[in-house]
Amino acid sequence: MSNINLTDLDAGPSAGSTYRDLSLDMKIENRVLPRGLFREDNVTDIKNSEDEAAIQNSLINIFNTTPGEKLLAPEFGLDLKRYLFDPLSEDIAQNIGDTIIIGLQQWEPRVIVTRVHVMTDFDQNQYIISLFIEIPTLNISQATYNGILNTEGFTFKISNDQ
Amino acid sequence: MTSKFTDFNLDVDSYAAFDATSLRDLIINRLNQQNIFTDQVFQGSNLSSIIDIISYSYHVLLYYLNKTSSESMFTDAVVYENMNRIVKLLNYNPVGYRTSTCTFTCDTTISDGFYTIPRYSFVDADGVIFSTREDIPFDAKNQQHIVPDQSKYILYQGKYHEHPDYVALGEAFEVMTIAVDKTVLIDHHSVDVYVRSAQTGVYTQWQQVDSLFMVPGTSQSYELRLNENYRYELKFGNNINGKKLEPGDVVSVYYIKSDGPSGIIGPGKLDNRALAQYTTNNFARIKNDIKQEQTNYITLQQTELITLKNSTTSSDPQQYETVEQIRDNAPGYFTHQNRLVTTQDFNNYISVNYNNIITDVHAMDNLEYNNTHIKYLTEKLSLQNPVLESRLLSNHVDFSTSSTFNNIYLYVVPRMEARKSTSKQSNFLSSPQKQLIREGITPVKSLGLEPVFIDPVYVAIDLAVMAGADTTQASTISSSKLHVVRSADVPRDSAQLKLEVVDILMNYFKHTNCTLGQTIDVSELHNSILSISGVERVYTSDQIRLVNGISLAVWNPVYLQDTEIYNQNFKLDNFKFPFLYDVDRISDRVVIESS
Repeated sequence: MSNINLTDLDAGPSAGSTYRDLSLDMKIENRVLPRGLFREDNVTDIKNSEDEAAIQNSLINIFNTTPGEKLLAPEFGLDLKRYLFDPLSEDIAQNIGDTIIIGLQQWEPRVIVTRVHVMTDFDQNQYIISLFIEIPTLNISQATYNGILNTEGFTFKISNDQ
Repeated sequence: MTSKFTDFNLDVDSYAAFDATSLRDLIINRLNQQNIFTDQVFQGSNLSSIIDIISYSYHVLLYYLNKTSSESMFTDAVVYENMNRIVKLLNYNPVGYRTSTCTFTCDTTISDGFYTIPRYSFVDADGVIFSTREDIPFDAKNQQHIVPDQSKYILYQGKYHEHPDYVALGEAFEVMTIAVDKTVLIDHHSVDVYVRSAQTGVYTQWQQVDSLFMVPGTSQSYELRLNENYRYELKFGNNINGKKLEPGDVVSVYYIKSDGPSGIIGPGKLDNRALAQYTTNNFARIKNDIKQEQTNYITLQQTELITLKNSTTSSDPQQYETVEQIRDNAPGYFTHQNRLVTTQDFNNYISVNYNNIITDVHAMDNLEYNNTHIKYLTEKLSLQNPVLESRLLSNHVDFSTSSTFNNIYLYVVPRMEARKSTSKQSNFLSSPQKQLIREGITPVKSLGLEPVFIDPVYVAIDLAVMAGADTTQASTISSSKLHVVRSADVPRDSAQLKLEVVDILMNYFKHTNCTLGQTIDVSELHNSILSISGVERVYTSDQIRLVNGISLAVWNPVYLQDTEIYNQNFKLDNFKFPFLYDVDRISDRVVIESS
């Protein structure tokens, strides 16, 4: 007798998304799941970050991790803090932009960096960073992420335009 | 459906094989299979961070688990503190630092009579102090050169120190710790303990024993143990096993503080230097209390009339017993249980307790002695009366009783190497050193056994090739050389190459690396030289004959009829000890050739 294997029937609770990551704020959420033969319609579970939110997690982690901090991947991260020991300059802004492009190519293969603007804000003694990326797998042609690099470290300010 | 998430398909002990990366890979693999999360494969994801933390924490925990479980095992422990505690269960006391020792003779101009040099007297040789450990009685006659009491005494490097008095609490098995910094090198065998009774106010000397459980409740004894912090602990009895300290008893401890390797002196260093007495108020009282009626201690003025001489180099001091040495020695101790019955017991006991003066020991019973050494003397060397052979005779006179059937023959090689380049090897334990060992083993040896020291037969080893078929005919040794063919592919400096080859030979035959009855591993020597970068081939040649590899002549320098040639591994008899014949010229015997 032959068996019929209906693998899609027990697909996971977030089967509708492409990328799924943990959301580290550890909030609980009620999720409405795609309907299925053996699936409950609603589950209460820890909150996920899905699709672009998952990629945002990754970008935040890449920008805020200094190489050596991630024990099992010691080269992971952008070493942006090293630029804070020098006075603000356009040359360093250029270097920061190069570092971001190279780092994202290495650590976030899901995105294509189209442009990076690094502006020097001499009044506030900080660099203002604008990151323009594509996410082909999610059909996002342009997403913009802004951040500030100053003596406090790097702060992401996410606002995207699709 | 849910079963697939709990079925890990892992062996029950596979947890021990995980390290951080393999556990991380396993978790990622599982998550990939479950298809709930996707971002575990991206290093930047939160999930990846969580997985890394879990994996790394697991790795660290497992490391400590392994470390902890290994360190509690006798076979695996590598930390001294742990090993020290483990062997305490076997009642094994690790041996501490042992200071340099030196044999001596005295000259005196004291008027005739019987005198005693008080214990702890010392001689100062330009800042290097050597002390006596016990009272030394001697008979001064006509102001002659004196050798105190058949040369049974030796000097110990360092000066005696007085530990602050300890007032006993009177507890059963009271323990007192010698509270000195662990960088202070206390000679392991020099600790003396005197107890002033709170009732009588009189000092008595208490005796060190290996175990309090082997002495009666009236015995004034204590156990000495080097603890895991390199500090000595004195443990007293409970009136059932060893006498208990009473409340108010005062314990005075004296020990030698060694200067370490800087305390080694050469022959003649002590010559004509006067003795000095160790004096403190407390020790003067102790000396007075423990003095025997007939003892005639020399006065301070008379002490200056005694001058010392030393004809040999003092022995090297020995470091604390290491973890590996404890691992080797403790089972032997546990086996013999402080009773020397078998030859292995003797080997173990002597090598553990006297390795500051010896480098190797081999005990033989009468049967092995007759079948090996005596047979060698009668058959190989064709001696008519082997017991008249000088070294045998000398030892028998000093140490053997008239009966020989119960003898235990102790072949002992001193740690000190006293010989010139090509002189016949005469590196024997001195009479006082033999006496010291004998006194040490007498209380614990089996009653019927009689230890007799036999000097080992030193056999010379040098490069030589066989002359014809007879392996006993060596070609002229001086013309035999070791030819090392240098590879054309690897550019190496000939002088450096030669240095490395010579170093291998000298290191292999270094005095402290050799053993009695050693197997001379010619293959290992050959391979060691071949493993040097740039060496293509090795052969031995006397310009007429050529032998591939290394060919060695082995002979008894005293009896040349015992000569053999080997170009493969061979084992020496258990009474033979090897030495490289002409160490100073060995580099002339190595030739570097181009291929």
